[in-house]
Amino acid sequence: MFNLDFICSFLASVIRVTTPLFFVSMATLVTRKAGLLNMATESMMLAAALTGVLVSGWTQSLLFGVLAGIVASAAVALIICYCAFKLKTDLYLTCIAVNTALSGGTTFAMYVFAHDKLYTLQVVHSKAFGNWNIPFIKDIPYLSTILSGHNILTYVSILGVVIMWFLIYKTRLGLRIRGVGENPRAAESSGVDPVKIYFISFLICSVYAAFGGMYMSMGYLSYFMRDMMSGRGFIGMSAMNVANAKPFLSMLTSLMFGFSQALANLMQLSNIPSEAVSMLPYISTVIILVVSSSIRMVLSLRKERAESKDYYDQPAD
Amino acid sequence: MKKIKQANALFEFIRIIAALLIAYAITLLLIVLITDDPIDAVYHFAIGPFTTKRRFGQLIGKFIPYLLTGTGMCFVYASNRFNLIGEGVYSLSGCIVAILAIKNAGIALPPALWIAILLIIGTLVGAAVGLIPALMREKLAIHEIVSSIMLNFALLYLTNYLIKTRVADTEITYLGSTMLPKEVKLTALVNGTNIHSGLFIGLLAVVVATVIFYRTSLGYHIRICGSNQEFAKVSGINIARSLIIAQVLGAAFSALGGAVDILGVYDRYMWTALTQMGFDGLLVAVLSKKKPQYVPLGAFLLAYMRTGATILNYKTDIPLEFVQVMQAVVILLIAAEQFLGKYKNALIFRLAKQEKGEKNV
Repeated sequence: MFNLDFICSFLASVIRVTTPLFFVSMATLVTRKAGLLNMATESMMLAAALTGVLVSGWTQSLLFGVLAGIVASAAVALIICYCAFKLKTDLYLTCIAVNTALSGGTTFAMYVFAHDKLYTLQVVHSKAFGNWNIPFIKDIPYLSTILSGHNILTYVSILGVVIMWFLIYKTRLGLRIRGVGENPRAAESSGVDPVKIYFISFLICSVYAAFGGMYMSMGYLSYFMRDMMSGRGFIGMSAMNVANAKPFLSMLTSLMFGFSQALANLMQLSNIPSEAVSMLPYISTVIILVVSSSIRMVLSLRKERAESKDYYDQPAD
Repeated sequence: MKKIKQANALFEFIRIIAALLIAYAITLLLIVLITDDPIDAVYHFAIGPFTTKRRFGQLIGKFIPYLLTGTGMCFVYASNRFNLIGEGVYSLSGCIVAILAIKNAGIALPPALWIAILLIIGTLVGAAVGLIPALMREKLAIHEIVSSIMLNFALLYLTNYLIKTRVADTEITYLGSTMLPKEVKLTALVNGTNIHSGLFIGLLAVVVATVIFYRTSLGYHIRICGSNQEFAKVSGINIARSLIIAQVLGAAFSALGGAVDILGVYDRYMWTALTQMGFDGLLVAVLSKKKPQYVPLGAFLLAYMRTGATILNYKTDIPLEFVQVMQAVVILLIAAEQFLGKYKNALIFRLAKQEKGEKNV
């Protein structure tokens, strides 16, 4: 069972299940850089996933489906921003409320438009993103199994990480986002409107989340299923947090979370009860969070001690 | 000052009513848009819960766990933490209680004592699990929303696993436990309805919570930590300890709710999907403005909305889920500081001016 072919196809499946996490970790990264934690990527993904399936099913055009998905996700972002920054509802409370609204709302909309409360399979025949074979690499044995022939959105997500890195560290907007994140008052005094930056970062976030959602319903699967994100928004966010909001490091930590997901999928085939296996991604998320935070705590404590030692060691004049 | 305080209280009330009206308007719009017979649908939704004894019983049957989860979330929400572990421990406690009751059917204990033991075990299990995200938040600074939601998924699968391997009923087509023994059922107060003696437990919990909130230093510390952490710090309050206790209490009340619900209403354990109870509890806490003494009002309102939606769901073709959208609108508007804020500020400004004028004369 454990030959090279098997390992290669397993690694390929890791990349397959990590793709939405790439998108989500970048989505939450941009709001974190602006100093906010976006707990509602899950609902943005749901909105985009359902809208993408429905619209591309009606128009039989992938492009319209994608555009509609992004618009739906952005609409969710605008609702959150309006409530949190204009009406001054607590951001976390807003996100929790929006998550529940979208979990119910997408089920409701699915019933209204597709007359089913569980999934849109067989009712809506939507377009899906195709696969792409990378030239040259597709001819290399083993490596081709791992890297080539994935869904187009997988490659888009990797490109998305590069774009996000460029946006955050190399553009004027990125500088402003980081400035607001570090100190909103200081940013304001230098003429940057924090609320405007919050809106912009949530809109960028919504585009990334939309692709993550549409990958789930139009790539990984070819239909929309009730509550189909099942915590991926939070897992992707945890990956970003463990990586301390560094774009490329977030990719690596996302792969770590994807690994446990893929492992769980693999173990579904064995005779361990599926319920026990399904717990794995969530439990491992909690464990990884605890370990990484403990390490961070110890390191910062050590740093603090070292600094205070320097202070006392200074010779008195 | 008294006038201004009164105006403030009045405005809070008006805001809640306005938020509910807006949520109702949006819901009615949704109903009218998708159904052929809107009048019938609105009738079922708005009046339905009060038309028969059985339906009103269903309403009270939902009201009882909302009392408990709502009080629990009051502690969590008042400490300004959004720990949603109440959702997971609700099912976990119900599951553990159901398994214990089924495995020990015919136990030689007085039923009242046995039920009390079961409820206490359920509560303690909930409190123990509730400690995990609380500790993670206060000691390791891991955000409680993330950890509690991850744990909720894990607990959901854990309960399904326990039911499937321990007490699954193989004669039914869905996943569920075998029938709960008769002796652990909470006694019905009105025959043929869901109104059971858990009502007293719920109301007692509200009283206990109110006492903790306003008559103990713990309650005071929790409220201070939630509203102004800087102040709590300089006053020498042990912030981490108060916040951990608040979150554990929240989980414990919620777990008690799950245990009471399973012994009061259900014949067997069958919560194989998330129960939404954590979120519903949060809604009750928001509706009652973090004040436990108002929880019965919020819980009743939510139970009414939910029962109406259930009736609508089986009488017409409108899916139950729209009520989640409605609940979210209510939360967003009530918790919005600036919703109708302009009018409030104008009114208070006028009153203050008046008062100043009176003093100068």
